[in-house]
Amino acid sequence: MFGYVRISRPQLRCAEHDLYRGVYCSLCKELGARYGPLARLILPYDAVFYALFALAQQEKPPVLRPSRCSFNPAKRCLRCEKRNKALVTAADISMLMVYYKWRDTIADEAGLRRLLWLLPAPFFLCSGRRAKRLAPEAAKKIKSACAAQRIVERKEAPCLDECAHPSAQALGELLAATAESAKHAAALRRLGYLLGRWVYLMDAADDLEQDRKRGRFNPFSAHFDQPEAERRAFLQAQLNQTAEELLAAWEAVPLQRYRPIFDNLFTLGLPAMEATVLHTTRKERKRRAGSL
Amino acid sequence: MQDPYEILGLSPQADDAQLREAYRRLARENEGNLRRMEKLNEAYDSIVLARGESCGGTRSGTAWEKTAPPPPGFADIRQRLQAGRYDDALTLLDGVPLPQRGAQWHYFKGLAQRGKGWLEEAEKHLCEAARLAPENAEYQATYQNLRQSRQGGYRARRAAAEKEDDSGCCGLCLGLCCLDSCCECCGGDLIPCC
Repeated sequence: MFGYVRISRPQLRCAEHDLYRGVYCSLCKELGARYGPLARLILPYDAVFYALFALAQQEKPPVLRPSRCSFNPAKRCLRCEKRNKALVTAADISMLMVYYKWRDTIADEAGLRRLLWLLPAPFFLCSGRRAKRLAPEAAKKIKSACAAQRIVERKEAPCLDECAHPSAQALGELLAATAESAKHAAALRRLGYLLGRWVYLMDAADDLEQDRKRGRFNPFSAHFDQPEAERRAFLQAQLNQTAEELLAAWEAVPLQRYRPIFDNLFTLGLPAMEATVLHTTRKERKRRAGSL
Repeated sequence: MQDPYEILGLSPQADDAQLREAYRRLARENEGNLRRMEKLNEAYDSIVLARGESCGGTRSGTAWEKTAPPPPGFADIRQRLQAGRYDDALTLLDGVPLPQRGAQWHYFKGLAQRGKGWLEEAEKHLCEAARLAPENAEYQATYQNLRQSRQGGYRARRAAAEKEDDSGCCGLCLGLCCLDSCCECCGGDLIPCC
């Protein structure tokens, strides 16, 4: 489910990219501090987006200082000076999301795969419980979204909007929670809703082939038998419409700083990710990532 | 936008006399506060407009909700849409009996779904509205916009904007060339190398 909300690196200015990396490194460290070194491996790009967004809402700008990566001390990076609330929340949320995703996977899989997924159970159970204790509000939102998703998936022929609603609403609530003043919450909620919807649609489009093979639930299952080109056009239309509404919502969102980074993310990063998902398979992407 | 009734401190059941009374009282209290006055005026106007619409244009002092049947004009629904209360609007729309669900009903339903973020349903209803009322420019324009956005409208616009920038650059070069030729005609030279 993760990693769709990314910047387009070639189009980002160096200073902004350094900052983005800095937030990434700070979040990685925060995850390590809160949930142990294993948790650093789960860091998704979506959580970096969330952390950066929360930082952009704060009154005071964060102070980033040069530092070194603890995994690879030869690498220099920027890091937040003090413990920041935005990073702490982002760390908790990413842990919670991974935990609930893992529980979903356990429930869905069977046989050998399930056993493999059960191997890291101690880690997930421990840190999931910890995350639930540290961030009860966010845990409640994500948990209720998961429950609502399960109910929708059991329906006979749910419409696309219905399927996307739980995760969209959850992200809407999470973004609204970053608002410094209550009057901005509505704009943030709308942006979050549409972004959540976009992520859900992307995830569904990405899983399409796999779900068809294994006979699992997919919101696009009515389009399984369509010819490839037609299906792709339909998926693209859905994503386009969501992205357009998203951009309109984005213009109404007030930020204290970092607007260019988010401009890059919404106008270039999301379409680039759409193209990647719609025109390459997961295997091809993995092979390419491995060759880099 | 905030609920206009809330701004005036009234319940939606208040009659026109109470409305006027509340408006006058608040206006007296907030005489110097321009921003507050602006809000009050806006709220008062929107209520009066909505009531006028739902009562067929008459603004009598009677309790309007008793006399006016809800459907014509869907004024209360429009008001909720403007206030961003999409779930309320959807509840009201679902209460409209089937025979009264015409083009306007589909249009409002589409707008409410769109506001809520249910874009696929919105597309269906706006399409239906445009189909049922081909002469209505508002419905047609909304549906056309939506269709364009499905085809990647914002990307096309971005590409067009970039093209314009390019032509701006070409225009500059062309202008310089022309200027150079003009100068050469008169014996001068703006760009020595050509």
